[in-house]
Amino acid sequence: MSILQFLAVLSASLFAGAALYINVAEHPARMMLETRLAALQWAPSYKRATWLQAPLAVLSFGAGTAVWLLGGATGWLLAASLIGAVVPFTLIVIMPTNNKLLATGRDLSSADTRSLLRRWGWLHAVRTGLSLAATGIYLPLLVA
Amino acid sequence: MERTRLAFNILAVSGSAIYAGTMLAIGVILGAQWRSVFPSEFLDAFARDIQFISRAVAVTAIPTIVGIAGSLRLNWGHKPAWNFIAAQAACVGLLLLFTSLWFGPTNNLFLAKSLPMNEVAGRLDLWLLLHNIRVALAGLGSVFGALALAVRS
Repeated sequence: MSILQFLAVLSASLFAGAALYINVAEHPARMMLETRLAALQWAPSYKRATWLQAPLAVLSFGAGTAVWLLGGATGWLLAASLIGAVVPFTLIVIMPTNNKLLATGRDLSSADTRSLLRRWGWLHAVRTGLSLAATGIYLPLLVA
Repeated sequence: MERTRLAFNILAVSGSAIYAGTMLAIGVILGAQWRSVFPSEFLDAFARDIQFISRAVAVTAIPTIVGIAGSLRLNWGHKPAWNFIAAQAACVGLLLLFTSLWFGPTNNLFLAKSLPMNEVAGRLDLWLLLHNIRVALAGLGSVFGALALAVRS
């Protein structure tokens, strides 16, 4: 049980740190570039971030849910749901923006591309918020 | 008092783990991006990125340091917890020392563009390799912090 609790908290925190970095450092730095360069840089960077963050979200969700199933407080399920929610949020809400940015033939220098990149930053901030909220709920549960 | 102690402990653990996540993202996402461009482009990107990286590191490192300092003070009477927090403080201290002694001067070399261009890629590889130590120290620090929480509860 303790290992599951620790895994849930650690993976949610790592996710939150990586997500925060993207919002505070990577995306603002990218938006300083000319739109075409920013879009070209966004695509591979997004793929790398996905490989880093998706497993962390799934691991935290699984471990948090398992703690609840093993008799942990409801808070474990709530926090697990918050961190787990980043996956459907990405697939349902963010993916259309990603697909537009990755569409073949898109004018990468256009104002629309810039607007999509800006929108992506805001949508990503939701993931950051969800992961920080999950971490904030998980941690007091460790000592409850 | 007990609530304050708990708040500092939680701040120390969460700050340290979130800080580790930030460092991990710098290594994995930004590191790969820096490696994918020519040395001259990397130096321009580094100059642009470093101000934002500093901001992200400050946002995560400052709460960690405050949390550890408060935890050390408020767990003074509880030896097992204090020892784990001291170990966490040592990890973060080492990380900061390493950053100021090696990463600071190396970052300045990149910013000043004073390295010969044929040495830039090699120095970047070393930067990224040694950055893994910072990730490990931050991660280990959060493990010690969590252990301190566990022995107090």
